[in-house]
Amino acid sequence: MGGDLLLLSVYDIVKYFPVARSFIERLFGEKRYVRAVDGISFEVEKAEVFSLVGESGSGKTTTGKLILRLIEPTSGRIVFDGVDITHIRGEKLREMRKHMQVIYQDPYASLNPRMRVGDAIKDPLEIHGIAKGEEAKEMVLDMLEKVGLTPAEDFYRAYPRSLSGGQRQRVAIARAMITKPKLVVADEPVSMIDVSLRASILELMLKFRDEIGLSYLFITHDLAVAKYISDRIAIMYLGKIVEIGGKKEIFSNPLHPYTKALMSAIPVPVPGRKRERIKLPGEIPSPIDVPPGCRFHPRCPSRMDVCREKEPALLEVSKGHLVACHLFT
Amino acid sequence: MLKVEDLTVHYMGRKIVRALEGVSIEIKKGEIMGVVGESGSGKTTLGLSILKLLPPNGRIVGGRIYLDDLDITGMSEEKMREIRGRQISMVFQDPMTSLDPLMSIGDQITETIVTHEKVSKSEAEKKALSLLEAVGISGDRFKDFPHQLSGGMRQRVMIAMALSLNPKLIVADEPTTALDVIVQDQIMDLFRNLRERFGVAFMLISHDLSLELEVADRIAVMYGGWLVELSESSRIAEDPLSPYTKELLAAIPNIELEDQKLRFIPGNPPDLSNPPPGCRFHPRCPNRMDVCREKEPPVSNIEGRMVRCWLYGR
Amino acid sequence: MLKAIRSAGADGLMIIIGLIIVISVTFMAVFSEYIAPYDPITPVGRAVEPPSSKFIMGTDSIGRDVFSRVVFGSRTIMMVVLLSTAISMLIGIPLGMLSGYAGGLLDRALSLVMDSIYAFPGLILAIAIAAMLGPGVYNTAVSLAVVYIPTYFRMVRGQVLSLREQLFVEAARAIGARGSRIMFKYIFPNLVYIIAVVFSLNVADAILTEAGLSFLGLSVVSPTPDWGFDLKNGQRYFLSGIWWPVVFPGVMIILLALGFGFLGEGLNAIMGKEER
Repeated sequence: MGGDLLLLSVYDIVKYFPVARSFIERLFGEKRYVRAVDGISFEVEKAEVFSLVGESGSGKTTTGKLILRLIEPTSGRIVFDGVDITHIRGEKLREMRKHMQVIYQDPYASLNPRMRVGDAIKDPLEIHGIAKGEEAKEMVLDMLEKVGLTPAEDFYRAYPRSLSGGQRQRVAIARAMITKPKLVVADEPVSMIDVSLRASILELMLKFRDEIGLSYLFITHDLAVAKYISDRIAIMYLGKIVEIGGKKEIFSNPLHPYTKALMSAIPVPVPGRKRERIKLPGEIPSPIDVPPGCRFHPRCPSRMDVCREKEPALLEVSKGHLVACHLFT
Repeated sequence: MLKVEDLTVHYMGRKIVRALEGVSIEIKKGEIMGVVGESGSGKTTLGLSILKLLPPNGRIVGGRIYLDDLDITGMSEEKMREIRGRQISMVFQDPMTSLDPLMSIGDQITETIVTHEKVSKSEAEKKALSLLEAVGISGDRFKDFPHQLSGGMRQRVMIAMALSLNPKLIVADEPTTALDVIVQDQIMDLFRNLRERFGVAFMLISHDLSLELEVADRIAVMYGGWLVELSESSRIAEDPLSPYTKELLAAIPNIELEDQKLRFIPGNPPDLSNPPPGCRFHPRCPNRMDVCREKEPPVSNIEGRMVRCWLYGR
Repeated sequence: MLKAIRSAGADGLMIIIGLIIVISVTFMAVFSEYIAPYDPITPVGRAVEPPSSKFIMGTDSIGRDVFSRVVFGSRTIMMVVLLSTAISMLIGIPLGMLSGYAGGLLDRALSLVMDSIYAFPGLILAIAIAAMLGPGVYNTAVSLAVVYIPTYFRMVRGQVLSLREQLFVEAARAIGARGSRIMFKYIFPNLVYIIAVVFSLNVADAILTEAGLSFLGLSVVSPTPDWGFDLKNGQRYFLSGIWWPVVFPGVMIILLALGFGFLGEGLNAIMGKEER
C-alpha cells in the first residue's frame, strides 16, 4: 500500500475512558478504565470501502469517533491526507471537517427536528464558506435529486418529521456529501433501515464513491453487509483488530478463530441450513476487565498455553492479509 | 392451540392507524412460528394483541382470538391476568427495562411463581433454580442482580421467567436484535432446546427472515398490517409465493454468495392511516396488475400454504 | 401547531380559554381610554356607591369609578409584568444557554448564584428589592425581574444540558459548526416551546407577586390604578358589606393569572405530542 494512494493512516491508537468511582473506591481502589480501543493500526486508501466489523463492545464506534476527532485519542497517531490530525484544534480542525464527514446509524436522531431539510443540507456549505444564498440553494436542490428525494423543491422545505427513516437517511447522506469529502465515516448506516430498503442506501453510497472518489470507513456488526459493500475488512474484538484483509481473502480463507465463529453464526436465508457451527461459550467480556494475554482466549476453541500469557501481534500471513493469533506466529 | 381469526386492530387518535387487517393465523402445540415483517407490518401489534397488551389507544375492532377453544378476544383484564404468564407469556427486545433492577434474578423468578401458584417459597426457589439452569445460567448466579449480567444473560433470565408458569406459548418480540450474532445463535439453540424439553410453542417475531428460516417451523410474512404469506419455512425460501416474500428474500445479503446482486424494493412502506386502495403492496410490487390497484386480494390456499395475492386469487 | 390545538381536546380547550382571557385583558390594557367611561384617578361620584347603571362596578372609597380603575389597572399590571418578564428573559435565557452549553467553572459559578436567588421565596425577595428601590412602575418591574431570572436560567440550562447530548448536536459538531452556530441554529430553536410554556406559567406567577407587592403598597404610586392597591384600599370596607371595591379587582387578578396559567399548562401538554 503506497504513499500516494493512502488517505488515512492510523498508528496504534488507544482510547481509555475513566470509570466513575465512588468516594471509597477513590480512596482505596485503583483507577479503572474502559479500554474501548486498545492499540489498533490500519490504513484506508483513496476511493476504497474499508469496513470495521465487530460486535458491541468491540470499540468500532469509538474508533469512528476518534478518526472524526470528535474525541481525542489517549495515545497514538492519526494521519489524514498527509496531515497529522491527532491533536489539531480550532480552525485547523474545522478545516479538516470539510474533507471528512459522517453518516450516523439513527436517521431519527441525527437530524435537527427544527431545521428544514434544505437548511440542514445547506449548513455545511455555509459553515465552510463554499457557497451561500441562491448558489447554495441550487447545490442543495441538485444534491436532493442525486439522493433520490424528488420533487426536490418539496423536500427542500420539509421538516424531518414528515420523512420516513429511509428518506431521513438520504438527507443525512446528502448533508455528508455536499462538501465533496475525501472520507466518510459511516456508523451502521443501514442497521435501522428496513431490510428491503438497505440495498438502495448502500447503492447510493457506492454511487458517491464512484463519482467523487471518496473512501468509506464503514462501521458495522453485520458481516453480510460488510461482504456486500467492502473492499477490505478489519474484524475487531474487545478493542483490538484481530484480522484484516481484502474482502475475498477474508471470506474464502478466514484465519482468526473469532472470525470463523462469527461467519458460522450468521443466519443464511436458506432453510434448515445445517452449517458447520462453531459454538462459542459465554459472551464478550467487559472492556473494563480485559482478559490477559490474547483477549479472545477464554472463549477460543483453539486456545493454547501461550494465549493466556502473551498478546499476539497483528502479523502479515499472506499478501495484505494480517492476523493477530498465536496459531500463526 | 392458539387461533387468530380475521383479526383487525386499529390505533385511535388524530388519524386512525389500521395496524392489522383480517389476520388469521394458527399456532400448533410445540410449534415455532416465525412472524416476519418490516416497519409498519403489524408484527408487534399482533404479538401485543394476543396478550391483550395493546396501548390504551389500540382497539381490536374485528376478529377473534381463541386459546384452546376459549375465546379471549373480549376477555376482561382480570381474567386475562390469569392467562398471561400461565398460558401465554412474552419476551421483549430489551430485557433491561423488563427486569426489576433492585431484585436478584433468582428472587424475581421465585416471586413470579409464588404469586401465581400455590407452592411454598422453598419449592418455588427450587423451581427457579432449575429454570435458570435450563436456560444456561449456573445456579451460583441465583443471587445476582440484573446489572451484573450481560445482555445475553439478562435475556436468558427473561426467558426463564417466561417459562416459570409452564405456558403453552411464549411470544418473543425481537428477542435477539440487541444481542451479538454469536449470542443470538446461542439463544436460538435455547429456544429449540426448550421446545424439545417443555413442549412450549414460540411465536418468534423478527425483521430478520434469515433467522426465521433457520429456526422456525412455519413462517408468517406480514406487510402493511396484512398477512401476505404463511407457509412452512422450508418451502418459503425455495418457492416463495407472494411477490413481497420474493423481493424480501432477494434483499437479504447472503454471506455464502459471491458477487451477490442485492435487490431493494422501491418506494416506502404504506402509511397505515391512509393505506393504498386495493392491495397494500401494489405501489411497490413488480407483478402489479390492474386489479391489484382496485380490489383487495382474497386469501388463497395453495397446497396447504396461505397467500394473499391476486396472482393466486380467483 | 394550530392543528395540534384543535385536536388536543381538553388541553386545546385550555389554551383557547387562556388565550381568550389574555387577549381580552390585553385589549383592555391597550384601549383603556376607549373602554373606560370615566377618568380613573378623579372622583366622579359619591364614595362607595353600589354598582348601578351609572357606575357598573360601583365607586371606591374616594368616589372613583371602580370599572374605570379596573380597566386602567389592567394596563398597569400588564406593563409591569411584561416589562419584568422581558428583562428576566433577556438575562436568564442567554445565561442559561451559555451555562448549559459551556459547562465547567462558568456553569458552576452561575448556577450557584442563580440557585441562591431561587432559594428565596419569591414574594419576600420582591418585597426586599422593592423596598430598596422604592415605588414606581419601572422599579417594580426590576424587582420582579430579579426574582424570575433564575426560573428562566434553570429551565433553559436544563434543556440545553439534555440537548447537548443529542445526536444531531454531535452531528453539527462533526460537520464543523462553531459553538455559536450550534447554539443559535441547533439548540435555541429546540428551546422555543419550553420557553413559551415557562413564559406563560411565569407570567401567571408574576401577576400574583405584583398584586402582592401593590397590596403591601410597595409597587406603584397612588393614584395610579392598580388592582392590588385597590384591593388593599377596599379591604377595610369589606366586612361592612361593601364588596364591590374588593371583589372586582380581586377577580381580575385571579382571572388574569388563570388565563396565563391555562395557556401555559395547555401548551405544556401539547408540547410533548408535537415533538414527534
